[in-house]
Amino acid sequence: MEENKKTEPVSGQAVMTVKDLRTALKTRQGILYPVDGVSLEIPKGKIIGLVGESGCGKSMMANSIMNLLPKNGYIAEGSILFQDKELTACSKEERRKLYGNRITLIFQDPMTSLNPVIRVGKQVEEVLKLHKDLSKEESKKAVIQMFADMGIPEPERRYYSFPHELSGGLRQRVMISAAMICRPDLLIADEPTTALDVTIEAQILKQMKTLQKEEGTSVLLITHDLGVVAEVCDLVYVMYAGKIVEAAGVGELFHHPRHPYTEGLLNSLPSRNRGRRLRSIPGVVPILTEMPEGCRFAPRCPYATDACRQKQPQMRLVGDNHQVRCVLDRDLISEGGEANG
Amino acid sequence: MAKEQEILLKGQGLVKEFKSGKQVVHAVSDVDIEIRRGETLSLVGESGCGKSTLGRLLLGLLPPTAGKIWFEGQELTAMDRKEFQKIRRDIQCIFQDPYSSLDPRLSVASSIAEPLVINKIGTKESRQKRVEELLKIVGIPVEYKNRFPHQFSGGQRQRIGIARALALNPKLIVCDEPISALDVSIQAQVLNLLMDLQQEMGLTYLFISHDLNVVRCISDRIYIMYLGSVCEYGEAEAIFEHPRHPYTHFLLSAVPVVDPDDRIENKDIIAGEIPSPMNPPSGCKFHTRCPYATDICKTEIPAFQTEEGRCFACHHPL
Repeated sequence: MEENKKTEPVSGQAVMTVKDLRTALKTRQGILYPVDGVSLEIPKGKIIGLVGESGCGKSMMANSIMNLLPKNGYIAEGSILFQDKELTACSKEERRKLYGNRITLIFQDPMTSLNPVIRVGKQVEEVLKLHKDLSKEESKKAVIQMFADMGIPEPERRYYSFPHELSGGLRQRVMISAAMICRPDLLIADEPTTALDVTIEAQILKQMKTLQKEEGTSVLLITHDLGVVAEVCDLVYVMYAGKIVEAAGVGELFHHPRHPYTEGLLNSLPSRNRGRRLRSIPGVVPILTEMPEGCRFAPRCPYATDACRQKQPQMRLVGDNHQVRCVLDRDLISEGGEANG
Repeated sequence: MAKEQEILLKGQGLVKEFKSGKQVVHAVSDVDIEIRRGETLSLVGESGCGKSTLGRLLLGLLPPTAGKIWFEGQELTAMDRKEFQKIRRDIQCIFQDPYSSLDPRLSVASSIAEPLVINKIGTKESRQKRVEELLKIVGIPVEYKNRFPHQFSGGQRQRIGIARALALNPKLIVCDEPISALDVSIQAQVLNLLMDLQQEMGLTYLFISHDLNVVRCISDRIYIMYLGSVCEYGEAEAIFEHPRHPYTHFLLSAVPVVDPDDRIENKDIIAGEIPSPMNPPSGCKFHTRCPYATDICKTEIPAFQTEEGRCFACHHPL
């Protein structure tokens, strides 16, 4: 596994830089853009959260990076730079070497991403076979060690289990083992714990984070759960209707949200509304065929002006590493906090 | 317990077992439960703890293997079908998945009117009027009444499900994970609607959920379940503030907190997974994962103790 160490990022701190990415879908209603001009940077060794509600384009983001777009989808504009490689211009051969090895992905549902008729140990070993030059015994040992690191009890026995013999939590641990076994530079985790119970979720998140720290892996964590983001992420990008609307360090974002959507999301959490009516965001996320002309959040925004409805705001810097796509200048300090009294 | 409040629904010694081949799944084992009029009572627990099965027993959707259920003093488990159907009007339900709980071939007006038709209430005209009234109550524009479920969003469909549950003016609504499939901003809208309806109509809710943040926000009392048994129950705030059963403690502390200063590294996390309900542990069911367990926990089922507004079954309470 020595060769891995050579793939240090050449260009400074970022492992991946996505710039003005537009992902298109050809449909009967014309060409739609579920990801519409997204830029983000994933620094080395950090966990980046990408949060948003369903239909905001966050999974399409992951699929664009992993080249897993549906048949009618393609990257229309922009660049995805991984270390010094432009992923949108990579050959098939180059991509084959990167994916599953330097960049890996885990999905929400561990049952559908494992092959039901192959023993789980063999499935994880397959990754090693593709990307590493190890003997049979070495790879088996590596898999069992990986299982142990991921907190799978009795890893030698579990090596021979079939997916249906494992609980949801164990299956997800197997998936993470497969994603981490080549010591990737970037792990993309698309709702990795959403299907799990809270106690199992906490176990897995903690284990993932420990492993990530040891290996110095960068993680792009895609989730709808603001609690998970607050607990594990270093930096957060909030996505709404295909665009990033706010980006900041985790403390800054939760303590001083600047975009009305972020503020609305935080305020609508039951944990911030104990004993009173929840402050919900009126309306629904716009559908792709009916995107508002100006700011995409304007139809639901309590502060929207005519200017907001006419012209799309640009991302602008409002503080240390804090960017927001809103023209409002006021500091929207959420008065959520502890409503207990 | 004190009888300050009238008990609407009561279950005693409820047991539900499912046969699976030669094995038996112990879904609910010996649960006592009381729902008081006008309150929101939540059943909480992780998947497989039996909370949905218990909800179905109380709704009469499943017959219990053992135990009795009373609604307003009448024993449901001793009734014949006809009598039961009459009472069943007073107990309605809302399900998790708004996509599969509405018939895709029925317009929403027909879906909402269906309980009225089944119970032969009103004429065609009066039913239409009632449908319009219900749509207004749940915040769906009346013009949409002839649309079909696929033309609505998830949140709207859940509202339609609520309208249908309200059609017969029920006393108790069993809400089985009613907002789990919805986005955060929509969850808040639906929760507000449920709370408003409760105030206006004096409804009683049995709320089944795994989302402890939501439960804390809306519940008067809660029952925490683990592997088919109740381990702690009582006043919601008392339990959330100071859980006495170790499982309650670990369950509450596992919930992701929306506070960036509260990081996962510093959390007190319980090890292990839930044992199989086909072969539940002896004694206290939690002893296999409990860091405080001693020999007595393995052999003796702990009895309930009452303290500070809640009851818990543990040999070594916190």
